[in-house]
Amino acid sequence: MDLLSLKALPKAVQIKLLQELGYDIEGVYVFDKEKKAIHTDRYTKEKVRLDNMLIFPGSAIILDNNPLSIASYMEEYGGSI
Amino acid sequence: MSEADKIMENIAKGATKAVIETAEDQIPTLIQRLVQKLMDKDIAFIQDPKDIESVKEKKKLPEYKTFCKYISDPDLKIQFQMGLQLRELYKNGEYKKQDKLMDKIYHKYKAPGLHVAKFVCDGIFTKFYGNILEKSKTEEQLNFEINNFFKNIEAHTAFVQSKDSVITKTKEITTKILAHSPPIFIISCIIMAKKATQIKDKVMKSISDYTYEKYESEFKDREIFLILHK
Repeated sequence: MDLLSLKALPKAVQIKLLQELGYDIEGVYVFDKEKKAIHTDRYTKEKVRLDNMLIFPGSAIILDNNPLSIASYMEEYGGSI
Repeated sequence: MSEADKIMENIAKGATKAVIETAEDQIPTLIQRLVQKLMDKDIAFIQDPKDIESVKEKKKLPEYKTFCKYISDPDLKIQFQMGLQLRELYKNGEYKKQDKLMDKIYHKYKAPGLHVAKFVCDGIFTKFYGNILEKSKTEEQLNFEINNFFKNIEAHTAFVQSKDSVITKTKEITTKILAHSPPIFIISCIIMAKKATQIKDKVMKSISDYTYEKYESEFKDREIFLILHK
């Protein structure tokens, strides 16, 4: 699997990528268009900031970049990063 | 080969510069390709490869692999990994990051989860494992003791804070030991509180059939005693 650093993507491209996945931004946060709410990390329940997000495969899982969320994802999806 | 194809090829080679320099008219195609790769599980978008590597490295450690021989609970496995992460942050002097991670662990797993992580962070697992290994007569007993310890961490450990009263903590620890007769009980105290020895001495006077060992952690901010069943 390729790992692409979001730092390599201009902010405008990051936003377009999010929009393609059904999200948007609200201020500094990722916004879930379907739930009409700021998107929260599925493991820590914290609001996900655009400048600290991760997008992992598996129905495009958007997480906060921290060891607990990364380890939880690997545990749930069998360490497939 | 189209411009977008070249960019995707460069991404596969790790050449992220290509993405930054993508021409405006190629962006919609590029995004479609990236989304397709994501759906095909061929790409993950990260911040820094080091963040992913750091988590992966912990899973390769013999300490973690030993733990996994006995523990299958995914939450306990994550808590153990977080203990290893906390230890690394402490060693690197990244105390703010360590505090932030402890907050996240507490928020998700409450006190028991944080105590599993702190237990691992303090480096007590190898000492605990050696002791349980020595005492267990069968593989089944060894398995039971390790699972029982981690699944009921609150009955087997006391993490003493500066604000805690010696009398209250002593009572709490004595009650736990008398109620559960654990093979090992851990008292871990912030060294600045200077309470661990007092608490240990008072506990030892209230229980029988137990001895103790001071655990010399490489982390000098905690004083740790193992209360061991004879």
